Amino acid sequence: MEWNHPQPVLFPCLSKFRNKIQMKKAMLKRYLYFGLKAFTMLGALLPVSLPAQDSLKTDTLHRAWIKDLPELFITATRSQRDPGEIPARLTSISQATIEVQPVLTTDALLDMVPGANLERSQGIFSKNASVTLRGLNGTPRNLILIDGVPVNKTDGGGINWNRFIPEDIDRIEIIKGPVSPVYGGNAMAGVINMITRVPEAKLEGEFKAFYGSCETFGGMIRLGGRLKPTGNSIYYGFSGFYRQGNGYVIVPETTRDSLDVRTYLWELSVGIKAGYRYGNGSYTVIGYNYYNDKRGDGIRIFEPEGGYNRYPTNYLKLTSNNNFGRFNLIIRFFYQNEHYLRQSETMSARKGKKYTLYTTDAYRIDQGIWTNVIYHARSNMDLILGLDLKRGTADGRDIYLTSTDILGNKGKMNFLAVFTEYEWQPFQKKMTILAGLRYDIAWFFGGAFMIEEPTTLTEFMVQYPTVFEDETWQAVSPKLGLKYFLNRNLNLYLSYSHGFRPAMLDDICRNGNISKGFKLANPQLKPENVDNFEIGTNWHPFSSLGIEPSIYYTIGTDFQYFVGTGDSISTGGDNLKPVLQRQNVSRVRVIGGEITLSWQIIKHLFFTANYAYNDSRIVAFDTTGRIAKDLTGKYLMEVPKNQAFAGIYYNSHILQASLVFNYKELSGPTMRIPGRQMVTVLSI
Amino acid sequence: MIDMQKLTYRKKSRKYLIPWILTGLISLNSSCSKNDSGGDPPRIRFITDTGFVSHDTTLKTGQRIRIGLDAEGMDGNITFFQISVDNGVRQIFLDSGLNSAGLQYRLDIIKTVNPVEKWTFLVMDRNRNKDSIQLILNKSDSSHYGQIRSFADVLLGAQENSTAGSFFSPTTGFVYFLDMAFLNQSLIDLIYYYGLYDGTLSSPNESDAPAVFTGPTGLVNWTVKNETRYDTTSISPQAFDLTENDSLLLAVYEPAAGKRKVKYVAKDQVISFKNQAGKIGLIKVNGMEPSSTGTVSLSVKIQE
Repeated sequence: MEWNHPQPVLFPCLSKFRNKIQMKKAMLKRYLYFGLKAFTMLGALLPVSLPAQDSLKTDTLHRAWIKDLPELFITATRSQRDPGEIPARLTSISQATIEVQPVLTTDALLDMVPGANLERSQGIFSKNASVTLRGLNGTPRNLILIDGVPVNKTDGGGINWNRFIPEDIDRIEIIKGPVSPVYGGNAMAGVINMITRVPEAKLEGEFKAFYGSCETFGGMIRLGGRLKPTGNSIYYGFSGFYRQGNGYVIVPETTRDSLDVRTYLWELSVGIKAGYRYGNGSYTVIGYNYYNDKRGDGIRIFEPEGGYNRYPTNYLKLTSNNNFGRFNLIIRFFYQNEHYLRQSETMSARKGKKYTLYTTDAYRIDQGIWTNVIYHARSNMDLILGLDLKRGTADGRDIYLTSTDILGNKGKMNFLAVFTEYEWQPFQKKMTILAGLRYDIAWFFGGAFMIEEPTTLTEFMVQYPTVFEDETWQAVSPKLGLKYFLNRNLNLYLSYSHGFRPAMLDDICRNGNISKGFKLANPQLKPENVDNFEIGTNWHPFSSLGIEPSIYYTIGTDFQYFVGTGDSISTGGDNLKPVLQRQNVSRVRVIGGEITLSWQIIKHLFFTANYAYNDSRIVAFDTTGRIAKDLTGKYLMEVPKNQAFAGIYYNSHILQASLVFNYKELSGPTMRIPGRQMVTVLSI
Repeated sequence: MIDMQKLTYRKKSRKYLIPWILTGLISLNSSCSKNDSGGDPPRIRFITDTGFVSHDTTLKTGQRIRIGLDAEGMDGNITFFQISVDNGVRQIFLDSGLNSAGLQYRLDIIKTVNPVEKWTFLVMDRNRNKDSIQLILNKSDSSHYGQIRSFADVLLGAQENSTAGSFFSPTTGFVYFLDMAFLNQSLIDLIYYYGLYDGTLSSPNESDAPAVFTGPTGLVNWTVKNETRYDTTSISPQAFDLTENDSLLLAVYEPAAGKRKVKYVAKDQVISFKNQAGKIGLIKVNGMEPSSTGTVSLSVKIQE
């Protein structure tokens, strides 16, 4: 067993009810159940843990091999689909699985997904997490949705994983491989769609309180209901959580000094939603979420709170799904406003011990309307047309308090996309043909960089452009997928798909010091692209056994890396620093595969195992006219080359137990990190 | 008469108002939370004790004065202190970050050849409120130039040279090896070594030198570390040779330009410096053997 960092051991106290009548009964049952569950939550210490048997009844993660699974998958095509029809590797994490997972953050649920790698080095005290799929590192290379609505920020490309409440999520749908023909930007390694709960009873709810190590405590509450339990009805929901704790000193004891202090956190998330379901499965739902937090970064010099990061966020979404005969119109409106606040305190290790204190005050706004129409031409043929509009805005300032400097940057990007998708199931539905094409155009405008009252710290930046020219780029994303059912127990799929990730506003319009030198904005930065070829099969030799292998070959072009422009400048210190700029300089190749085996050994005993291989390398790196180390042949960071998982579960009404093994062998551009194993000896 | 068409339109449009109202409220909520600086600004004053200059004054070229500053934060700690000098061109003499309720600072100023120098002392507090004071130094018409001491052909060895020392004292005119320099720490103003930036002139208080001169008498173990500030010039070797008083030394001296070391030292280069004691000088590089066992030959002229 390996513990990377201290994690709070949580001792939860929970309750859950549905309707007043059921409350007493439910409470009684839950006291017994949660007594056991409290022990299960001890598994929060363990990086990976898998569900108990209850979840296996409905969990496609472990039961995707059951061909007649009566579940609809909504993420793959932005319309409801039988997952068995889709020529791609899909994964779903069900509500039942989520309920028994001893996770503290939503992203931790993804660590159990075959081929996914989660990086969260300081546990809940990390200001964010990074999720890698399909051998392409980093959250910005994945599109993250909440109820089908995007949450990736145009500024940095990623999302704030901390702001989601695991208990508020009904299920998570994951498509691996590029899905840009349907979703556009960011969907180059995969799409992760977190679908929130919709109340089924007249009144239902859940609350939880916990206390653990590192003086961590908090609580969660979820309430909801619908005015009429069946038929057309208004429904509503409220969820919230609060957590605070004193963390630990991040720096190892051997290199620690008096400025290294314990991290800390407090965070609060509140969500409300209201919806109305009407005839033919149509519905309209509006939801609002507010999040606020403060996480200490473990350095305190003079300021009582030391360095910290905060991400107050407002998020509003409105979805309207309307069925008109053979047509289904879906409109999604979203507005996300993240107000990033940072306080940084540093003391230079060099002679003179230069003290620096500054704050960052940045607004990152993303808003848009996504629409698509599904035309059910025949029982075996659908046509989808869509129009997506989005605007991303960044407006930030670094305000120095130990000098007069204020650095500002701002920029906007408008996105417009049209797409179409055609799905046909010929030969008495023994085959699925899925073809799609999407055109994206983006305009960068209003880009500017400002320096107010420069001192020796920043006056060297004055020589660089302060107003950036408008730029435009386009992307065409095709896809073609075929799935063939050889018999009831065996099907085969082939697919080709294109994906891309737009350049981040932070790289397009922000100059500033970074650890390696001075970063120069690059308004001409273009998207990264990938082309993915994939083949896979789903084989169920026996009703109790499923085997799902896939192999894929991905070529990435225009991948972005920092390179030197050849200039060096004095940034106020004794030595010159290189001027760096993010540019499209490399080609990447991923050869990968994954296989999942699921076996219901006997009634209460279940076994699952998966293995994923990803050889993600830079195959070309253009250093022409640039000062950069040639990274050709190096591995992408945060991508496990070999990754294996195995778990055996015993699950009955009396006992729920699991034994889990996880292995990851990481690689980086300059070194390979030996594999690490983690074993959950027994989670009861 | 009621316009029914407009009424119907209004009723319908209300359905779409809700998201926009919510959006507006969110924007309002966000825009209200921006930082507002407020409170009383910090205060900075000259110390008026005996021996300190606290008013505008007229000085002879090369004349030295001492000023004292006393600052306090009123509604927040002082986080920034800056000294700038304007002699036709504004230059930053000192930028310093701190986080303290008060600040006291002493500064020795040597009058340069410029007719007018405007010194500005600024403090800023945690709320970015500022206060500043100024001191104007005029050059006296009766200025005369001071005497200088000259040291010709000072041979300094790089760190691995066993025949020539790397440490020089303009006070005594002697060159020392590390062990002897350790015994005369307060005299050492100039160090030579050869490394990452080829030939380098520095001083005991420079950051890279301790990694070069190590051992029991290494710079890490020095208790007195003089700091010399250097600045490259465009003075010709011939002009240096003709200098007989401190006029040229003062003319090229830029109070705000000094660095803790001068890198890539080369033959015929003339370098301005000011030592820990506030003496201004010039160094001419006569020649060098570029290696860690090599030497550099210097001529040094410094104010008496």
